[in-house]
Amino acid sequence: MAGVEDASTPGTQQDEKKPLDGAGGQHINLKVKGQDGGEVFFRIKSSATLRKLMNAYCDRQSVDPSSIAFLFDGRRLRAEQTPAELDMEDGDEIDAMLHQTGGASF
Amino acid sequence: MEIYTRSKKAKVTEKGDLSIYNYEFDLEKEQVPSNTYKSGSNNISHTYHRKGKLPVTTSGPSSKREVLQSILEISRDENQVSTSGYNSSQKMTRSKDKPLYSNQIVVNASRARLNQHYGRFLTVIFSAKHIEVKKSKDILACKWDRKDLCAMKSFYNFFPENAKNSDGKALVVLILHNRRVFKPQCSGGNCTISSDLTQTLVLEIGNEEWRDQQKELFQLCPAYQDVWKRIEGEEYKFYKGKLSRHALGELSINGNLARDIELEIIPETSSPPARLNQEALTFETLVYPLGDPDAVTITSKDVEILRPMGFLNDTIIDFYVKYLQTNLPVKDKERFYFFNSFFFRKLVDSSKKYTGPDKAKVVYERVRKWTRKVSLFEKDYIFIPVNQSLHWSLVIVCHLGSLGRSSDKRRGTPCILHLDSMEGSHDSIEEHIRNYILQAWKEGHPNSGNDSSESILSEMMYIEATVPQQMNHCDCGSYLLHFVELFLKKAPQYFSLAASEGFPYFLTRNWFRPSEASAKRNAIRNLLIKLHQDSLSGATDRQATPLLEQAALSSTSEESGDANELLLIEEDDVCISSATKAIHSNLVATLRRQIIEESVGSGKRAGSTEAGPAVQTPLIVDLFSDDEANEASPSEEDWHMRDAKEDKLCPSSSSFSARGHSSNPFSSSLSSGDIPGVTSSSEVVSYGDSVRCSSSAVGLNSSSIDNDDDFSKRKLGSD
Repeated sequence: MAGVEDASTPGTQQDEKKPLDGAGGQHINLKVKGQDGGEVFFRIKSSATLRKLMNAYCDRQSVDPSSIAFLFDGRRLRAEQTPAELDMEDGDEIDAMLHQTGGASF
Repeated sequence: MEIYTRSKKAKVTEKGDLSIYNYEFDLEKEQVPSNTYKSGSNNISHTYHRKGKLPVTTSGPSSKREVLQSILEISRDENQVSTSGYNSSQKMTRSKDKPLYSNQIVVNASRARLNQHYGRFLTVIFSAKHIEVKKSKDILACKWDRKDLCAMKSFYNFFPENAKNSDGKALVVLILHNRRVFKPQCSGGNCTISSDLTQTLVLEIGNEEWRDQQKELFQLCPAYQDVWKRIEGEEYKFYKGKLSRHALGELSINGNLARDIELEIIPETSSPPARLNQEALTFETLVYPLGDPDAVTITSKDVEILRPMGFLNDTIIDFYVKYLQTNLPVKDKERFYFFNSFFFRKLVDSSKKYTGPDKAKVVYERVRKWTRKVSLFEKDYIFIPVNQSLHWSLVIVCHLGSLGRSSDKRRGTPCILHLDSMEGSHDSIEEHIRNYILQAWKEGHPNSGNDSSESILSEMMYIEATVPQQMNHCDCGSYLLHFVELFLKKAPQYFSLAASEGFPYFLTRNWFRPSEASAKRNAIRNLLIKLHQDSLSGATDRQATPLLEQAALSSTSEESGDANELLLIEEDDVCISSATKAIHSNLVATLRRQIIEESVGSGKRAGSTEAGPAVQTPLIVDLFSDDEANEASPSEEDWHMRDAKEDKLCPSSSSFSARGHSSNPFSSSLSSGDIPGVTSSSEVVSYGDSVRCSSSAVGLNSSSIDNDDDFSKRKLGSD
């Protein structure tokens, strides 16, 4: 955990913020991995909903949020879930996958 | 280009007869869009809409003159533009264009489609006030007010196959209103896109080029950003060549063009789209099963795709599989395991990325966690939905537990069954599944050598099961679900190849009738609507309780310890949310019930009366349904009247969703370069109550931002 933080964020900011968050507000780093292998890291409060993360990711990638499914260990994530709820730990990886559709192939 | 115009002109002047002119027009399959180039031709142009045929009603000396005039104007205009147009080479001439149109963005599309008309080398000029299509060989000039643009979206890397030779292409889709003909219904928020009110302009542009131009466009006029992405994915279906070609019928198409760019519109014959939409409107969001950590969220858009001929998406597949799973008898729950529809995609994606000797291992590692709470080798049957090339099929892995115990045949024969409603579509999946099983086996048996693992694997047969074949282009998702459902019903205790020559007795071509699979779509839709209504009225605890219990049962049976805590937390959440819903809907509740009862009773009116109540407060409901009734019906009548006249000419134009072609447009659009500024290097974005963008290891810009809005603006602007 410490390793990721050091590499990513100035530790001081994090330390300053922590006490303010109060109950249950620990931040964790999450990695969102696209199907092309590109990775984007997010720091999110473990009690915050994933909606923010999802929207931020989609904005960043210029994709429509409704075209992407987020999966964590194979589970489809819902926007109203929180990392705490999902037992996410620092450094965990979320898959961002495009929704699939199909009728027939030619 | 000039020759074309001149010859047409000549014919009009020589014969001096408008009907002949019409005829020529038709032959050429040309269209004069409703908003023709010059305002002087208004009188005529507004009647041109979408069919590309001059209506006879405008005949008369004056209109003839105007036709000529407009043609002259177009050709004059074309002469001006031709300097900046394409020459023999495909090289874009942006550098030349730029000084000419400083307040404009000139987009050069290598291929384009305006409604049913295909063209090459089209120049489109975006300005703050107008969108202008320059005349080209295939598409006549036309111009729209910027306000007429109601939706716009782009798909990057649309043709990955071509990407080897050139840069990838981006496909830009614009939906434009026919303002001259109809009052626009799009005012902020979601707009109703219906084909009779709109024109579709599809442009194929180089990836890199469009990426820049898109940004320029947003800077030029923020309104472009407002309409960005209003087109929803589900509305637009992607097909490969054959079918769309068929649908295009007799339209004159330019060689490859027809095969490659086909964001075409599917005729919506069976039921009027308006009604479907209204029913879907009653549907907000359903989380199923409530309280299950693996729950699937179904939105109204997912319900909409269950309309006739819609392609089923992963959400629907996962929902229905989850539904079947939830309703299994308790004693059977442990026998089956269901991967979701992304599992196989993940396997394939991962294996594409790695090469090398330990590839299988790396790939397995990517999905290892998916099953960390499940022991696959204790399951009788494992279901894996497969999606490739816009086609769904089903893999059932049988009796993994019997692997390596060849002596004990009683436990069933381990094998991989592939159930494909269009045989031969998914040829390459065996390897992926085998590798996965092998790695899983190795993990469970760390002491076994490579050889023994291989021999274990060779025990497993891969069987293309004989199953009913789909008779159309769109039902494979329904077939998949029907396979799962029937298999679950009939799955034998021990599936054995040795038992009889008649091998799994129920797997035959006549297993079920095609109509059964097709009916699935509707059944699922009704099921979803019912579940949704239940969940709404579930605010009064009676109906919510069984759902929760069910969910609790299913997840306790699957998981242990910490999962229970998860469940508890979620249950709390559920209670809270249903409680708030109860408050919200308390006022509405009685009214709603009345409305629903009424609408159910009165059959035909069900669609419109149900529209609001399930979701909104009564005030909004009333307003809404009134609007719908007042606005939708006249325009629909209009539409039918026109269609009656025009259907013969153009059967596919009165339609709704569009399609294009690519082996997999969605996966490819993300696969590379879709993302400005994001490469595989790491970027760090921190997210909390206040957002800080921290300096990353790679040394990208570090600045702190105050709120989310700033954050996103900055991204769009400055990347």
